[in-house]
Amino acid sequence: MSWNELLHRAANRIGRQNTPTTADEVGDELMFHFRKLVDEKLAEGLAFDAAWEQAEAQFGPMRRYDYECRNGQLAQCLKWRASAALAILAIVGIAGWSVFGSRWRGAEGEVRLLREHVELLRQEQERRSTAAVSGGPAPRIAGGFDLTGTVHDDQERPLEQATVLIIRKTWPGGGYRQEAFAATTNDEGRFSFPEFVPADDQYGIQVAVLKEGFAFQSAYQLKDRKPIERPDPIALRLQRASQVTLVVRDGRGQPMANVGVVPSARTPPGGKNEFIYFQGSEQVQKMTDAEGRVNLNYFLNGDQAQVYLRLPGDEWDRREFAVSGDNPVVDLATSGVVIE
Amino acid sequence: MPPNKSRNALPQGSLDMLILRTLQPGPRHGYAIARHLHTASDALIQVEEGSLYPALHRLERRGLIEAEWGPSEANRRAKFYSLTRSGRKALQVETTAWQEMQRAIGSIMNYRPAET
Repeated sequence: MSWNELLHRAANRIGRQNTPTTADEVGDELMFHFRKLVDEKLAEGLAFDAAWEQAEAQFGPMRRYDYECRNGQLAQCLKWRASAALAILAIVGIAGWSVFGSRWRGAEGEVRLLREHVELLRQEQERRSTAAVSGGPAPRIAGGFDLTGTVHDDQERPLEQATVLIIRKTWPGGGYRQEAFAATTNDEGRFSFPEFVPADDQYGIQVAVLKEGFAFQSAYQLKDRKPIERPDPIALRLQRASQVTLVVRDGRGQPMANVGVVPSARTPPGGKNEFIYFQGSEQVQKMTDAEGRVNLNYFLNGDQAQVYLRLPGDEWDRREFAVSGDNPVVDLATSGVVIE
Repeated sequence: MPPNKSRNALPQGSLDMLILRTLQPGPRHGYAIARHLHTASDALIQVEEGSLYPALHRLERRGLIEAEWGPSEANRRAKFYSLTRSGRKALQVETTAWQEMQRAIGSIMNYRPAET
C-alpha cells in the first residue's frame, strides 16, 4: 500500500468515513460502469464503434463526473481538516496534499485510463470477431502468392525453432477478415506459407517473431494498389535480450500465481515500435509461478515494454514498464484484482 | 440505446431518494443501480448514468450509504454500495415527505371548486 493510500485511509478513518476513495478508484469505478455499457451494446449485436458511441451518450461526460467525484472528496477533506485537533494537523496536511496531488494527476490519469481501456476493448472485440489461431497448415488461397521469411541472430546465424506469429488481413467481397496463424522456423531459420495471400485483391500481413533469449521483432506489409504485388520476403534479425523477470502482484501486494503473461510491444530508445497482435498471442503465453514470477526474455535493455496479463476470470490487463539494467526484476501491480 | 430527449428528466433533488430506495433491498454497484432505475421506471426516467456517481459519493460522505469493493458477476472489481442505519432513516423521512407532496400536488391538480 502506498503512503498516499495510507494517508487517505488514516484521514478517512479519523473523519468517520467508511470507505476511502483514491483518485484511481474513482477512475476504476466509472470505467467499470462504462465497460459494462459497452459490453451490453456489443451483446445486443452492435458493431464496436456504435456500441462505444451509444455507451458514451448513455453515460454522459466521463471527465465531468470524474472531476465532480474528486472535487467532493477534496471539499470533505478540507472541511474535516479545519476542525481537526492541532496534533494531527500535520498528518491531515499531508493527506490534503496527497488529495490535491491525486486530483492534479487525476485528469491525466483518467485520459490514460480511457486510452488503455479503448485499446483493451478493441482487442477484445477483435478477439471475438476473428478466427482462432490455426494449429495446422494455413488454408491456401488458390493462385495466391506465397509468403516466405528468414530469421537470423545479429551474427547472421539462422535461428531455428523461433515462433512466427502471423496476422493475415484480407477484404473478400468488400468485407474484412483477420486471421491468425503460427509457424516455427526450420534449421535454416526459414518459414513459408504457400499461396497465403490473394494475388488479385488487397491484403495486409503482420509478422512477429519470438525466440526465448532474443528481443522480438515485427514487420508489417500492406499491398493495396493494383496490380497487387507479391509480399516482400520477411527478413528479421534478432538481438540477444535482457533476462527480465516479472513479478505480478494483486491489489494487496500479494504475488499472483498462474497469471498468463504475453509480450505485447516494445519500443527501443529512438527505434521503431515492435508489436505482437493480441489475436493469436496465446501461442507465446507464459504463466507466473507460485511466487508470481515469470521470466520474459524478449526485451532489450532500454526498451519501453508492454505486456498483457491474463488474470483470474479471464480478465485481461495491460501493463507497461521500462527495461533497465541487464537482469531487471520488474514488479507489476494489477489494480483490478485482489485474490481472497 | 442513447437517452431519448423526449423522456422525463428527474425532478431536482430526487436522485438521492431514488438511489436510497434502490439500495433498500441490498448492496448494488453503480451500473446495477442505473439498470434498476431504467427498468423500474419503464425507461421513462432520463438520467445520464455518470451523474449517479457524484450523487453516490455525496451520499457516502453524508454517511447515508457505505461502499465496499468486491467482485462483480463477471468477476470484475466493482464498488458495491449499501444503506447505513442513517440511510434507512433518511429514506423513511424522504419517502414520507414525498408521499405527502404527491398527495398535495394531486389534490391541487384534481381540485374542483364546489358548485354554488
